[in-house]
Amino acid sequence: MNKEVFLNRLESLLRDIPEMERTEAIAYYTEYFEDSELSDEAVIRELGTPEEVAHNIREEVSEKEIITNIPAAAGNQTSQNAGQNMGNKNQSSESKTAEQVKSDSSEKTLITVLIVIAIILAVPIWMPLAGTLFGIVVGVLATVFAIFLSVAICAIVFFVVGVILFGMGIANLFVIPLASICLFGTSFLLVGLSFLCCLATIKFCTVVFPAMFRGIVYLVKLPFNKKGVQTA
Amino acid sequence: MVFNTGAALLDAIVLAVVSKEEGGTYGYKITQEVRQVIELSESTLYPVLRRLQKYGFLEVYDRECAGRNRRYYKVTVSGNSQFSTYKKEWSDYSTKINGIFEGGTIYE
Repeated sequence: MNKEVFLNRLESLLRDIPEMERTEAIAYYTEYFEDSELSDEAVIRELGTPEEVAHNIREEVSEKEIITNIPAAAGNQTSQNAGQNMGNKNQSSESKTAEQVKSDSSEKTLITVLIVIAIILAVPIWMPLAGTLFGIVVGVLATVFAIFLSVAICAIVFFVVGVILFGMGIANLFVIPLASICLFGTSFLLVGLSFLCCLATIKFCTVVFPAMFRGIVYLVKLPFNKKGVQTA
Repeated sequence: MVFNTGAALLDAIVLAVVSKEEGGTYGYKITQEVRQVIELSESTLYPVLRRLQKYGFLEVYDRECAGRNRRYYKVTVSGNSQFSTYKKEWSDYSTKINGIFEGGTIYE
């Protein structure tokens, strides 16, 4: 890799920082190559890859870094002095940086606003989709609950009818014995079915409903979780 | 070296190197001089110079040299007072560390 390739690569890696910062950095490293007595290759060996160089510059340029790194001793007084001490040319270049930083952050706000507008404009698309999804979830819930209710009612009805038939069987035992035996059989069958329904009801309460609640909670939490991961 | 050089110490070293030269000095020379004192990758220095310039501790000017422009760095008045602060802090710090290393008393 020679000097030109290195500097071009560095410039393209710094594409997203303010133009003034990029120009300054490229000028610095161009000069660095010229000032060094070593060959371009040797200088590059010392500097590292363009990626490393770009990384270091980027870290310095990011607003956060600048704010957190100001030494405690450099208070208001220092920055006032700084303004007075700097030559006209330098002062203007400094204010330009501040402007660029400002325009950077306003660009970010602009993007946020555009995203919000896009979301609002897309209402005709995502609203029906969200509605449909909501409808499906509610429908499934209602169906499951209806099944549960019918099974529970079946348990009660089967039991009651079974008991009644058993009573009729006893009443008819000595009148029409055959019919009475038939009634007994049906009664046992119904009571058995009733127990089965009872078991099913219990299963609903202990397994199906808790699982569904967990599922709903998971679904509701999902968008927030995603957001959390993105900001982290 | 086994000890790390933090951002503040690096700032202080650079201020020291630049303030040695009355008329200011340039990037390559600063890098070489800093590297005589501490181990540091050459690409770490530009961000430090840029930062000190942003705080107003260093000012830059271009000077014609061998047919081309060279950017010179010079310590400002506030840079000088910042350097004094650093020197005082360092003296306190190193006295304490030396004290505990030599097994003497720790004075607050």
